[in-house]
Amino acid sequence: MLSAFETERTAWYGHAVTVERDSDGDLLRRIAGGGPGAAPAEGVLCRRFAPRIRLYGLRHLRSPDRARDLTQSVLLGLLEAARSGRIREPDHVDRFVLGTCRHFVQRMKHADHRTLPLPEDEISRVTGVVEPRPFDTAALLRCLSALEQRAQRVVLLSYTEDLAADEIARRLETTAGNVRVLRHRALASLRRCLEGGGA
Amino acid sequence: MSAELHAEWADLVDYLAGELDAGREDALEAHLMACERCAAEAEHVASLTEGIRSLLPPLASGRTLEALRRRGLRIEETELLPGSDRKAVLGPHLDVLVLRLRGVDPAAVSATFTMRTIDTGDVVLQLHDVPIDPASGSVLLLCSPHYASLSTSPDVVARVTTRDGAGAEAVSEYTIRHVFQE
Repeated sequence: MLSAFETERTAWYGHAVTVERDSDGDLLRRIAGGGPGAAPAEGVLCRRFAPRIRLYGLRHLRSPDRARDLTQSVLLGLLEAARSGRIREPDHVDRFVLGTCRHFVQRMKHADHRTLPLPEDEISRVTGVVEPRPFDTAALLRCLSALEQRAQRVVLLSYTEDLAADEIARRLETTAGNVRVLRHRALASLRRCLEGGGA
Repeated sequence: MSAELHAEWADLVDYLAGELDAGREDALEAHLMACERCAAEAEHVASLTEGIRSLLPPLASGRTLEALRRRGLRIEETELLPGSDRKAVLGPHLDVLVLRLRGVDPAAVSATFTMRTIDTGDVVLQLHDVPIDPASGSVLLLCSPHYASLSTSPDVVARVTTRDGAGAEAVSEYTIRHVFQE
């Protein structure tokens, strides 16, 4: 016979397995309903949107730390809105998340602050879902070394010196369009190299 | 961009570089927020670019070095002459150790940098068209303490190969023994 704790745990995992395949709208309805499926639904919603929010942060804030802060703040706002049923279009929660990202990024840019401190009990829910996989630096260096000369130069100028395509084009005496083509081909090549073990 | 159409790799690279026009950027952002597959693909791009950024420039111009100083990085410099054999001590006390590899022809039209491990001869890093500091005739090699995570041997030979306007080649070698302190 199962103890009360085991019964509760089994029910939680049962819900966790079920909600993993739920649509965004179904997740929001579970959360707003507040039943036993609400907590696992919150976890799935956070895992689903955290990488997308982080991407937005990397693009607009240009810092992994600030992108992490943004992710936590937006997820917290999302959970609060979901619990209180304030999201008007549950099947288009992506629009709510994008709007919230834009709002927070504006605040972060103008005030040049990070984000509001999160309540302790929420931190564990919205952290741990945003960390990217660690990178194999040795493999990256090997793959970078294997790039063709011009492609290597474009990659390093783009990402270690943060130069725009126009400026790189001026330095390499080519066009910005050509720089962009070299850059996306070089990154694709690096990806293939890394997936092949960095040989 | 509709949910059925997926984002191109090239657009994702341009997006994360901040080089899409405003209209295309708005459409792509709305798509990425709704499309799990494209968001995962964009994560690959972000992971690569963040990985490259975290390297710092392995070889830098004097201007780049100044920019790193302005960012507040703790930087120490030391000089190496061709043929020298030196320890490079890295640790939590600094962010970057700059090895100024002297004896490079400042008038060279091109320079290639190669770093090999002493024990196996494996190439750790090879970069082309590297910047030469014309005032001091040196190449600035930037070592970061996080290179301690590399699985390769810390003892390396750095080689700078230059070519002058007439096509004549010159080679300078420096032995560097990295010591990573906790």
